[in-house]
Amino acid sequence: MKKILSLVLAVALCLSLLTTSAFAVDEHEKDYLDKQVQLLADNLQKFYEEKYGEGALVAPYDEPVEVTIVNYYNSTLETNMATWNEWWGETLENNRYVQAAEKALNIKIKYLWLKNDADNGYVNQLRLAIAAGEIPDMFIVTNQNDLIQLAESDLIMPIEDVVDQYFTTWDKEIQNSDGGMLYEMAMYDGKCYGIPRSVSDTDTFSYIWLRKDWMEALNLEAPKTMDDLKNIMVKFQEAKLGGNDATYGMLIDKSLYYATRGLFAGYKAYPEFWVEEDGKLVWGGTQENVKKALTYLNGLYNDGLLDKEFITQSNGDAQALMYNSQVGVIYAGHWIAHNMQKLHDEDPNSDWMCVALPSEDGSPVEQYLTPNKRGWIVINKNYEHPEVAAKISALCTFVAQGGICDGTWWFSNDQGQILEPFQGSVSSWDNYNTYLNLLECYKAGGDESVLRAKAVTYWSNLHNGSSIWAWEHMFGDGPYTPMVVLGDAIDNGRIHYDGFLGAQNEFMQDRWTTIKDEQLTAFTKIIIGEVGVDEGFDNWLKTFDSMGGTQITNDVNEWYAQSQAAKNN
Amino acid sequence: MTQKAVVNSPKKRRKISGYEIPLHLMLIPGILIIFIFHYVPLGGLIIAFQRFIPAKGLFGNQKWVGLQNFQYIFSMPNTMNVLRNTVTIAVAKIVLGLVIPITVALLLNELQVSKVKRSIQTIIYFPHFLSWIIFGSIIMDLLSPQNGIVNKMLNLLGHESIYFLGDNKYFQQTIIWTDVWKNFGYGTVVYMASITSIDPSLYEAASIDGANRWKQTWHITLPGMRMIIVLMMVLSLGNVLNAGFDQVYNMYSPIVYETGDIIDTMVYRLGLENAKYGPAAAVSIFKSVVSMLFISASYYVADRFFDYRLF
Repeated sequence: MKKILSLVLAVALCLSLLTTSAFAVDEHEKDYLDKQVQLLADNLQKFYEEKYGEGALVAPYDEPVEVTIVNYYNSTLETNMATWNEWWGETLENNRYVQAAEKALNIKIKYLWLKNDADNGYVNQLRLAIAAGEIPDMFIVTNQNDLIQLAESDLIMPIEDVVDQYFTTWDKEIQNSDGGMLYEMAMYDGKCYGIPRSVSDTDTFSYIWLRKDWMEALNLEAPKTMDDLKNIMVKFQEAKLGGNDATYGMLIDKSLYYATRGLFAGYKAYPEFWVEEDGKLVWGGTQENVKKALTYLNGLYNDGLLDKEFITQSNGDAQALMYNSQVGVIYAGHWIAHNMQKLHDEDPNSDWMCVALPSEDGSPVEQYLTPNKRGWIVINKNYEHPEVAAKISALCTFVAQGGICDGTWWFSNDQGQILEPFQGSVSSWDNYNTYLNLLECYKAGGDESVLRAKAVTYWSNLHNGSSIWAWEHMFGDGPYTPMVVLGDAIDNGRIHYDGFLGAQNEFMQDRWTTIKDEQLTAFTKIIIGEVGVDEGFDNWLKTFDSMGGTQITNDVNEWYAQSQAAKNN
Repeated sequence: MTQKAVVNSPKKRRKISGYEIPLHLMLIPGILIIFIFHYVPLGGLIIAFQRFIPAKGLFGNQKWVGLQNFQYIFSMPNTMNVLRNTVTIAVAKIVLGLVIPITVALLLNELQVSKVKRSIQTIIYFPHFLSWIIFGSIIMDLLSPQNGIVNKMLNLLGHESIYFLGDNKYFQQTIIWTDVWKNFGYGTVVYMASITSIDPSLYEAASIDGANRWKQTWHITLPGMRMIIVLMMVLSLGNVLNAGFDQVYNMYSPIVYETGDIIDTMVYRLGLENAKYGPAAAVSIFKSVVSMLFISASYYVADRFFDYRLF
């Protein structure tokens, strides 16, 4: 009996092996990658010649040129790559861009290493490699301090000439799309050492989302003032339309700022940024207006409109309130619609809307952003072909925005972007530009030929797949999307940037993390009422000073004065 | 577990017999690994005395700053608080980590039905294998002031809800007792093993002399466990400054930094943004030196009062 049983099991195991490999047979064209790479190689130079007369900049080399690079990936990409490997033999080291670079430009990209970026994996691996003296020919640096240290140690070359001579006009436009801030952040000793790879700055913009079905059921209007907002929260709590006894006014979590950025902004308070005041930079967390926002939040807490457990919850934990229909007001980024989609799948009546941010007196709200980046390209001082950076960059831009290659395939839902040797770089206004592009398509009655780059993928997501609701709520053509709010802010000049773009000096590096810790603790204590607003805020200001905040402010303003003077010359 | 070795004669050396040579050879790979991975890297401790900048390379021109990294750590305004928290939490964990498992081992020993004994052993041993990420979120759920079972029971008894993880009054105790809960199973198993090694004829002799169960425990069981207890105590004293980064990191939040922040979590936050390898190495050295002092002291105490030499 045992023998028969073990025989049967063994046979079953073997059969299961066969079936898994049988399921690897796919419906995808086996040579799709080769076709796309060939398409790219055939059209790259032609495209740049026609568009800018710059075909020479992307001409292939006569002799193959090698370049060593390092890069990062994430777990999603790893999983996808396993599938892609079965379909057309792609690997992380020999990915579509590596093959394209070889075919189109005769550049051989060699990866020294690739690292999963979970837990700051890339940054740490890079620092170790640098400490061991293994500097690749060119690579992305994500941390500004690391870049400055590389420049200080004379390991990388200044890049202004490289950019001037070899980068295409198009790439230069993208790199300057933020007005030159990312370049400024890469300055050391009067020279610039990093080529920016930017992404949407607007991701820091905080939107207010309201439960639309509740608003309609209770006949409420969009709030103009903070008092209006509180009124809405109270009505939501009384009505308990989610069917849960424990209904709250607003979502908030222990790290505080992400879930309240728009609220602080409603009081002209910016506790995460360096703000310009009377020609000097001031740390937003020390300004008087912060007190007003804290008083408001304290009021919400005392009235039971905030979940008392927020002080130990991460934002992910706190979102349980949203999923359980226990809260109807959320300040968040535009991408929270994806999470709301999950609620919508379960409760199709649930709906959310994005409206203009309410403020203290009803006037339009201004917001601060920081220059957002994947990092900077830096080039090893001893590398003889710095123009390789320009060529690879031009190739990637052509793929993304040229409209000739299959954008959806190359992007593969944003995973393709990570495969790029220098990580995708897009204009600082990319999300908004994508939105405008989508609107063009809507206006043209669905004419997809006007779509470029990300808009191609986004348009597809708006019409196919399981997240149509979410995409419509972010990038659709309705009146209640975050993009409408963003567009209004951009068109009316209500977006500002963090004032401090320099590298942190030693003193600031030593102290700044702890000072920000203290700010978070102090504000939390005020909100939960452990200490009064005035007393708590005065204590915070004293702590800020005693921990070196005043000296840091002076150092920052020294930088600011120099930087302003350089601009005015 | 050694007694003082008996030597034949102080001058004559015993020859290594033939069958011992392969045993010595088998040791070599292990010794090599320890040498390469634990002794050679000791040279890297020099980072604690430098302003280490990765870009300059390991052997590059790093700036020598002497004790400045140590000064920086100790000049952080909350360092005294952090030190106090670390020592309080660690000492409590060590003491409870001795007392509770011993007590439970003694109690379990009294059980006659071995199936019950074994199942209890397995159940209490189980949390030891969970990571703090999992166990921490279980705890956070249980202790939640609004939805947690513990508070619901407290309410039934007429008490107000206690915010265990969000209140400075309760946070340290919560950390200590949840750690005991997670790990006492491990100690219990070790002590139960040592109890079984006690000669049963001693118990028979004692009961003939009229000793009751309690007297037997006090005079036979505990002294029989003495060596293991001392061993576990010495080993755990080396952890006097390791208050449990994994646990605290997963369960703390800014509101309880005052009583919950330990050395490791503070250094972790310091290092997060700016790769402070120098101060991190300095803290490592500080903790190692303190550990060494404690282990040496306990080795001496064990030798002097318990006639017991670890090495």
